[in-house]
Amino acid sequence: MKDERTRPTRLVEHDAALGNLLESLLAEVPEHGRETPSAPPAADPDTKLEPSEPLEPAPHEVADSPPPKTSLNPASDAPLTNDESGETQHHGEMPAWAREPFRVLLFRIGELRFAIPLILMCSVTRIPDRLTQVPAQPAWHRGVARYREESVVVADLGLLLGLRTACPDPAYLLVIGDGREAIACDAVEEAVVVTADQVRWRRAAGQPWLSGLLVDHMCGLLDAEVIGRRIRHG
Amino acid sequence: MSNTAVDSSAGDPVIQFVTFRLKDETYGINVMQVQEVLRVTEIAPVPGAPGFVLGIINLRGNVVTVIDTRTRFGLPTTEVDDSSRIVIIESEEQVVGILVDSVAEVVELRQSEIDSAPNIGNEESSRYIQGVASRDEDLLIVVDLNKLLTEEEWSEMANF
Repeated sequence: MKDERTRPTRLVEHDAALGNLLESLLAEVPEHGRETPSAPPAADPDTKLEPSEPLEPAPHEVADSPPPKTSLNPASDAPLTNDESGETQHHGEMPAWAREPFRVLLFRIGELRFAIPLILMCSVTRIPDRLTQVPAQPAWHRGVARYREESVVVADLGLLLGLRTACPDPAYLLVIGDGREAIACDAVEEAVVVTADQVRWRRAAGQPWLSGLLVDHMCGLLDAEVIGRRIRHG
Repeated sequence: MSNTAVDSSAGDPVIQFVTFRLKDETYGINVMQVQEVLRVTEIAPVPGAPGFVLGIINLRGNVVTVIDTRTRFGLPTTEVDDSSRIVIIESEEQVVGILVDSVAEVVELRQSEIDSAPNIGNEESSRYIQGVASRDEDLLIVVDLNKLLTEEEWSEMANF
């Protein structure tokens, strides 16, 4: 009797925790950068892995296998549409690259932990001593870094997405896409292998920049393609 | 100022830029639009002028409006010092001065070296930012002087 009561309680708590996490991720700041960041109920961090030199996540470890044309997940068969901003709506499905186990990089911005698929990343590097400040840019625009002969626009993810988190003194750049955009973050933790069933994939009504939630790690899985487009187009 | 503008080899012209400093960054403007560089002399304020207009100077009998470039770029203002310069430019068929922290040098860049990096200059408020270019270990912010002001603002400037 006691056991029967305990198990559903734990499930409810787990769901509530995921709900709280989602809420904290989606809580929008009315005016970007003006509110004091609150402490969202994110999971405690695991041991931090602070790379002593630039970490190359070797995205081709995952990317080498060509992406399948269709997904194994039936939900992904739902047609893709575009919203007014031109961003693809995934309608609750997992992306094609998640068909096979995939690696994600866990990182922190302020109090929030995120994951980003390595397949959608270019590299990770320490933030330069100085970013070039271009005048009259939006608040999320932290500056431009020179990296591998390219100009890389560095974004404050919290301000870009309107999240209740702040990253006043970032340590790393997560260079995404083709290497022209980067997210500033406080700490890089570890790269872990994830399978599709460990992710609660985003539903149609969800934020387009959030692919889903990593259940085991209690963090949001970012869609780096959508974030890259936001950085490019504001 | 002499304008040794350009070698237009292979459709990728070499363009000379006068570079100047504002706050902590280096900016470049096309040398062909620069007439001369002056030490800062007395600038007479103009009542009712837009906030980015510092005032007017007398340049050999001609009245030239001086723009506070820091204000135009949304940067904090600073006191004029020995390094400050007024760069006399010609743009939109008008001659105006832009106040800068200092003038550095003339550099040559190929057009292809100017990187209209993503989201740089996309904002309406920063449309005068043409792009960035790598200079040694630093980045040069390339400014399109013709877009420094809006058409209405250029018209307004003509009235001073």
